[in-house]
Amino acid sequence: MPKETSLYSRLGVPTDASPEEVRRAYREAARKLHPDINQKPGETELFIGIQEAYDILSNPDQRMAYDNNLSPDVFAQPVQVNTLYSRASLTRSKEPQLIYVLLELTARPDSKKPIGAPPLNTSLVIDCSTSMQGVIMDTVKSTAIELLHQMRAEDIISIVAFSDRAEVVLPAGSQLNAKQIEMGIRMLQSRGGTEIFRGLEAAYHEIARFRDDKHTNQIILITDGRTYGDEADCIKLAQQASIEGVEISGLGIGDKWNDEFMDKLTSITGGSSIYVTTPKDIRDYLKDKFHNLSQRYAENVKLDYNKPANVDLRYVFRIQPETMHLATGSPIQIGSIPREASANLLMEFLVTSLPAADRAVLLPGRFFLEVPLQAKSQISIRLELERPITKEPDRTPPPAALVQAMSKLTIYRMQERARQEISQGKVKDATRHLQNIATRLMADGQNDLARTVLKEIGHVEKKQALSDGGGKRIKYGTRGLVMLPATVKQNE
Amino acid sequence: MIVCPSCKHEEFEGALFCNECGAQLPGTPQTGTKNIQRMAATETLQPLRPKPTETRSSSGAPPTTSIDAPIAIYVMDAGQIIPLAGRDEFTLGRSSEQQTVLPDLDLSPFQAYEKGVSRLHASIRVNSNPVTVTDLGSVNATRLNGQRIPPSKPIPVQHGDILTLGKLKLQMIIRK
Repeated sequence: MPKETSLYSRLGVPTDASPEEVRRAYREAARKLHPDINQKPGETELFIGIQEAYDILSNPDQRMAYDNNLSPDVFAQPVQVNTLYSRASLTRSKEPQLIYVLLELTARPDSKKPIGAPPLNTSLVIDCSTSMQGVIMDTVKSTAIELLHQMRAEDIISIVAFSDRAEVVLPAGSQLNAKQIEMGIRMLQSRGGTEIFRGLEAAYHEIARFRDDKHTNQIILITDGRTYGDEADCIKLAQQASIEGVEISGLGIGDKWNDEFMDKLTSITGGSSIYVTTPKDIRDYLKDKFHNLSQRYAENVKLDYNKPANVDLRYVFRIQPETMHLATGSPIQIGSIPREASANLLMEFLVTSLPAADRAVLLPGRFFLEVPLQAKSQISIRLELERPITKEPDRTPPPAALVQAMSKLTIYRMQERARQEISQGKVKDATRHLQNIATRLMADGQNDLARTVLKEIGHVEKKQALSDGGGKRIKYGTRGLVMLPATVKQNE
Repeated sequence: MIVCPSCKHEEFEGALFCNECGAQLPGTPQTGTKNIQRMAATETLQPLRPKPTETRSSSGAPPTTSIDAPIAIYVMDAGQIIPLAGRDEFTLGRSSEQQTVLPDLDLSPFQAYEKGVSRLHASIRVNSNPVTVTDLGSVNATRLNGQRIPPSKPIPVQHGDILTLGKLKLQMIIRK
């Protein structure tokens, strides 16, 4: 076998390609290169090579024999994927059944060592509307200045101030004149209303000047207000950002901003939103955020999948880093993988019917991600979630880590449901669910949060709506509870 | 279909929790209270003296203790003081099955698992001045007075400082 062209590269598939992916690649090539249709000289030879590759790779025994002769480096992936299922098997039955999967993505131990943090390409987008005036604005300013001083020489940072118009206070660049920038930040004036799109657009423009897969491309939006009329434009921009690998995170200050909009805007890009009320929290969040940015290993992580018709992916939640309910459509924007910890997703599948075979595929898919500091930075990793089907129901208890995470996630989901019921005018159902949430929180020792929920029930009964602050406290409070009891499987 | 034992709501086969009332469904391992086991690390430490009568200080000042170790940690939720004596450095974590390296101080009796404490979470160096704490690359991080500390870097701590391992709160008691 000639060494220089591996059978995998002849077919143009990754070394972890599934039989289905091998078949698809072959068909595609055959359609273009088959001797019956090809025209250019040399294509027949090319096709013979591909035919040979397919013959071997489509046969499990021959493929294994071939793989055994390849260097293990060929199969080494920089990210390891661990899977934990809530049940060992699915039960042969006519009823629909649920199964939960906890995924853990970690950097490979050996690929952790020589690698530092990728340089930042980050833009701070600061709301300078009148309402930000005072202590809040001062805190944002002083934290921004503090963070600027911590930037490394290779980091690129830009700052955009916006109200009903946007101003680039600091254009993207890495040659910082600290004094001058400090002056610029200190001079920021609060005035006018909040038009987020203007700020985002300017920041996106700054990021785009240096955007590539070797940087951590991040927009951090800091706002305290509702944006009016430009939501659709913001979402469109987020979709574009997502394609370009730019993540958007949101820091919402106080009770007036639109959390649902902010969640949507940020989750499109794999980012997240957070709710803070005190100047200290603003500072802590921003410092934490920059710390986390400097801890990243892989970025722009997406899960592309083809869902079988008999399976419904009902819910995807990111437990780590930064808890967030993710959209289930393919590709799922997962965000990033930290260097030292892991990224964790919890998925709920509803299997509506079972195939005749003795195994059911839940989700055949592929992760796509970027590891900025590696020579080959674009990585893809195959994911195949499947379970055997047994006649008798499986009685092994689900893994504790999964149960633990689900116990908290259930509360968060009850909260989501109550919100939905309120928006549909089903106040009675909503108050009942809020009551149940309070009971759960109480049993969990979350007394403060439980009290907030109980207080909110009164508000909902009177006004048929959640209060601005209470609704946010419940949402971000219950979301923050979802945390893993240590890892699924630690690297030891 | 599974019927929720507390509210009679019906859930699909395979559900772990009731969507209606949040109760745990039968067949799943209980997550709530766990039996407190003896600490695995007590052999290497001075005998642990549980102090159930120790009142929790509400003022934020660490409680005083009669144990004569100059350095100790106070497990805030349990109201228990654990002296750190007999070695120079203590690793903090939780024990689990199939684990070869055990922490010097096993926090399992304090719901370490539920609170997101890693198996080897942090270490406290007691023979140095100042006393330092190092996060050992834990999953849920270590916080010093609410501030996250970077992994693998010794950070000085003082008397009264609060360390949070995952969600487990410990207060430093240092009398030198």
